[in-house]
Amino acid sequence: MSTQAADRKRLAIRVLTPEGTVFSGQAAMIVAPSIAGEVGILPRHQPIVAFLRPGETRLKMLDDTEEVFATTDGYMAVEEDRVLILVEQAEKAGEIDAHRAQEALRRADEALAAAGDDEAAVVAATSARRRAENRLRVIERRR
Amino acid sequence: MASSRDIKRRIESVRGTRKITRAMELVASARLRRAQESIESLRPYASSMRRLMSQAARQSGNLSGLPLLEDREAVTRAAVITVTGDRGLAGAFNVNVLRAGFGVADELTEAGAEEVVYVAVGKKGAGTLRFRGKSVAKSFEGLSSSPTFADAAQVAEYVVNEFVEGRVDRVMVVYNAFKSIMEQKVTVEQLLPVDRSRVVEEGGEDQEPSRSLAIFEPAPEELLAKLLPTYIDTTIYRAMLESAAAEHAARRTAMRNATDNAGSLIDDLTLAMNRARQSAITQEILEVVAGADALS
Repeated sequence: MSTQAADRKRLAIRVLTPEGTVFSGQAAMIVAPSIAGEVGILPRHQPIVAFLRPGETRLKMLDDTEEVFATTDGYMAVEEDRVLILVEQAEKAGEIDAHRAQEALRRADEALAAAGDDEAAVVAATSARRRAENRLRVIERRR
Repeated sequence: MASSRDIKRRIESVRGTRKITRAMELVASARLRRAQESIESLRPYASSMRRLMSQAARQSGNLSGLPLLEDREAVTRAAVITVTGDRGLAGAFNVNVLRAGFGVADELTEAGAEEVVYVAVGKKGAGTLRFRGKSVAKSFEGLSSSPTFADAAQVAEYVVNEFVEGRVDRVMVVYNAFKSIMEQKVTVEQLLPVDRSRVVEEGGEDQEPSRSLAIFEPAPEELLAKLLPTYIDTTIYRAMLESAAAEHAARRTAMRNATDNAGSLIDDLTLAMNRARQSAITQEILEVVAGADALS
């Protein structure tokens, strides 16, 4: 039993978006922004499924370094040391281009202004705006 | 008979056309590869989501009270989403989808639907539907060649709203599925109400089913209520990606045929030109000889 416990000191983590797999690998801990507040998951956590709100998802890697992702709305599922993060978009904090994020925010604002009473367009623009804001907030925090 | 100069001019023009069709074939090949990659990228997300959804469905036990699952007995108004390309020059690609769409609409009408409206994704479909006098409730254009998830979410948002607010009772989607580079298959799927068996059954073949009971935060019912729209987003996104890949494949084939045809046309014209030149020369020699004979 003790050897098995020793084996289980890591989490297999996958961060998936519809446009591709953003991260797949092992980590010692993951902290994700659930709608009820930040949730930290360590190995041997009991199975849990939670909603995520836009924010940053932090992975503590096995070598004690940290990886940060800006993530949007989505879901987290934990089961037997496998953590699945399903989000609409996820970007590594180090790879976010501040200039492009600003640009995206500006475009979203323009789209929102142009949308008028077209419901679908308003929803699309609002969510684009939220994503851009989230990206900017995450890099702001990294500075 | 056309003079050799006229034929030469035609050959030049066919050569020009062949250059264009060949370039379009290459562009389509490159885009096809990218579209295929997008389909592959979606797969892990889609199967994980199906799995999560079925887990939530099983743990919540009760599937009633979810508006997206509500199967209404009388379908009075239905919507057909046609996924076409924004551009033509792809053989029968767009026509096939629309023809299948008309078939679906007829079936719905026979089953008692009073009105069938179309939701056109892609400029070509929207144009043809309007031209035929069909009622197009909404059209989404300019996103066919490399659709993003946000594009699909926009379409999903619209149809989900229409359904939940009772303006339509059924939503079907018609698109070209990408089978292989040589084959596109027109596919009809019911989008709304969501088929219960699809919610409960495991979606991913590559993953073992989960046995353990998970804590849901919040409750599985609420999770399901949120996951179902995401499922619709993903389904539409997949249809759009498949359609994009199929469109590029169809265009590649069409352009390859056009290039081949231009090639054989050039061969025929070259032959005709040589004949014309030869007969012109023969004619001249005859005239010279006849002239010399007349003098002697």
